[in-house]
Amino acid sequence: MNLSDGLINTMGWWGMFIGVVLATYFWRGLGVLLAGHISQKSEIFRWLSCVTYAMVGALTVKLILFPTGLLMQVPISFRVSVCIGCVALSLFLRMSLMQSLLFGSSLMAGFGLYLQYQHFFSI
Amino acid sequence: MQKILNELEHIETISGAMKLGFRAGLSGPAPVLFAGMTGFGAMSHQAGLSIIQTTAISIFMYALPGQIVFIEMMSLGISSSAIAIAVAFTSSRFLTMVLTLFPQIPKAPKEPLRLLTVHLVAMSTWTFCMRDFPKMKTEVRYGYFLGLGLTCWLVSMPGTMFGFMIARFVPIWISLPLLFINPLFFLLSFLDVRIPLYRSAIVVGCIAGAVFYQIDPGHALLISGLGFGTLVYGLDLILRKWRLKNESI
Repeated sequence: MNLSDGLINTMGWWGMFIGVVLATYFWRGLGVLLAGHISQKSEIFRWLSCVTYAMVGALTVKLILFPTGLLMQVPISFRVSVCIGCVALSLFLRMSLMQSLLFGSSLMAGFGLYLQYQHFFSI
Repeated sequence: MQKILNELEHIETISGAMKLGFRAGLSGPAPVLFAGMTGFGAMSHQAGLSIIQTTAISIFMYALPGQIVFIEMMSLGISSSAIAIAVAFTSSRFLTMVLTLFPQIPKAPKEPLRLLTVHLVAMSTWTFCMRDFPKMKTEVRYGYFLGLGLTCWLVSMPGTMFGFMIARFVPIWISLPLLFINPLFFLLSFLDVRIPLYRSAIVVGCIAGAVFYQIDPGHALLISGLGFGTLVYGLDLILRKWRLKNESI
């Protein structure tokens, strides 16, 4: 056990809480301090935008493909099909974001119903 | 939503922009975040935290993916410093998110302290501001950001408490869509990104994420973002230079 763990243990859960809050705020605060030096027409701005869009893309894919907890009970093929279905509705049928979202959520709810009443389907 | 988009360019005052941000928030991001936070509240209840602890996490961390990492690692009994490092890794995206959002808002002499309002920067608020800022007058953008950001932040608190309270009664067919709605919302909001360069960055980031979260989950975000985001930028730079050269000949 290192020093910071010992320090946090003496403060209990709230010590750990302060740790993660600071770990999150650190990046936001740093962003404010550095943002003043960046022009939105600069090459750095373009580069940072690329990095950020790639990051949020990766994070979204992570949440969909490799979730934790309850979502793991839904097969990956179903999760991906829901996503493809929703994207297709938005792109080709020009559905609004909320409509596609509602559609995807209903599919998920449907799968949940199936999981819950699975024993009725088994022969 | 379409109505709000049409109004964007005609907004003249900060307070008008704030109201519009508030309405834009209620039209999509805030309800989605409410649902996501409800899922988080229920999850935290199962991990054995109190309602005060759970709500404090949503108010002060206000970063759903990081919150989920926190609760999960905590229930696994992982050491505090390892948790803090893992959370710091998932939250590193905020640096570049702020760096791409705040330079678009000109500094005003009397404005709410940015070191405080930066807490409102989250994935949903960021995506909407990035999409709408170019259509707006620069002076009123801060108002739009505040209206949208505050709405989303304020909604996350009751959302979390609600989820915590109903955790014991929620059947799986309700909790599944609640947990899935956030990633699905992010995915669908990417479709609104119009600039080809950034579109490519998203697609490349998605593919890189799918690969590297299987190989090295701890660093996947950094590799996909910093590594492959830079790659996309680099290729675009080369392409632009090459075009420029060809035009001059």
